[in-house]
Amino acid sequence: MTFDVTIRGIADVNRILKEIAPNEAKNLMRATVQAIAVDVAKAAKDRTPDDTGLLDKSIKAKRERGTRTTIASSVRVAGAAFYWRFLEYGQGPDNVEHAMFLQTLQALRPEIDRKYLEIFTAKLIARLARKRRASGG
Amino acid sequence: MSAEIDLQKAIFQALSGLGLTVYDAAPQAIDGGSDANWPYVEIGFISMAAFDTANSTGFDAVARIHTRSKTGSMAECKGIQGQIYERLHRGGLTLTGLQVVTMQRELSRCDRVPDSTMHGVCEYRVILDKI
Repeated sequence: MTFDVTIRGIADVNRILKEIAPNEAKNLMRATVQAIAVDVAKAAKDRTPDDTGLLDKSIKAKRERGTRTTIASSVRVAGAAFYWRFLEYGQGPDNVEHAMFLQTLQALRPEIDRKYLEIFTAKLIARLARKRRASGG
Repeated sequence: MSAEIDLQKAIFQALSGLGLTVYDAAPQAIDGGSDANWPYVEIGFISMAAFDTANSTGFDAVARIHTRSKTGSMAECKGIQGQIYERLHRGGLTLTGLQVVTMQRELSRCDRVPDSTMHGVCEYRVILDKI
C-alpha cells in the first residue's frame, strides 16, 4: 500500500507518528535518547583528568529497558574504572574534586532542547530516507 | 559581586546558622593531615549554567556540599546531611540581586573513605532569578 503524506512542522510529525506509526515513533525516540547519552558520555570523557586511558574507555552509554511509557539510556562507568567516584568527589590521591559528570550534566541542561530537536530531526530524516530506499522510491 | 560568590556566601551563612563548622576549603596541618574541626562541612564544586528567558536572566546552579566525619559510623555524617536537607531543601537563601526560584536536593550519598573517615556528598540544585 502506498500513500502520500505531507508533513509541516513538529506538530505534524508528532501527530503522524502517534496515529500512523507508533512503533516507528518509539524506535525513533529510542535512537534519539541513545544518541544524547552517547553525546553525554563523550563530553564526560573530555573532562576526565589524564590517566592511563582506562577511565575514558570505561565511560559508556547504555540502552536501558525503560517502561511502557518511558525510554531510557544511561551513562555508566565500567567496574574496571571503579576509581571514577574518587575523582568525581575529590577523594583521590590528588584531593581534587574533578566533578566531570556534574559539569557535563550542567553543560547539557541549557542545551538539551536544542540538542534533542537536532538529533531527533537528523534521525527522522535518516529513517525516512532509509524507508524510501527500501520501498524502491 | 558575582552570582557564584553570592551563592556560595549564602550557603555558607545558611549552614553556619545551623551551628555546623563550614569551610570553603578545609585547613591542612603542616604535616599534610587535617587541621579542621571535625565534623565539618565543606562547600565543594558549584557549577552554574545560564537560565535566561526572553525577559529575565538567571542561573541554574548545582552546589555540592561535602560532609566529613571521623566517628567511624555513618550516623553522624547522615545526621548532618539531614540537618542540611531540612535547611536547604525547598528553603530560601539570602542573596543580593538574586532570588531563589527553587532549591532542592538531587543527590545524597555517604562513603567510607580509605583513611576510615566518612565522606558525605549532597548536591543541591538552585534556580536563581536576577531581580
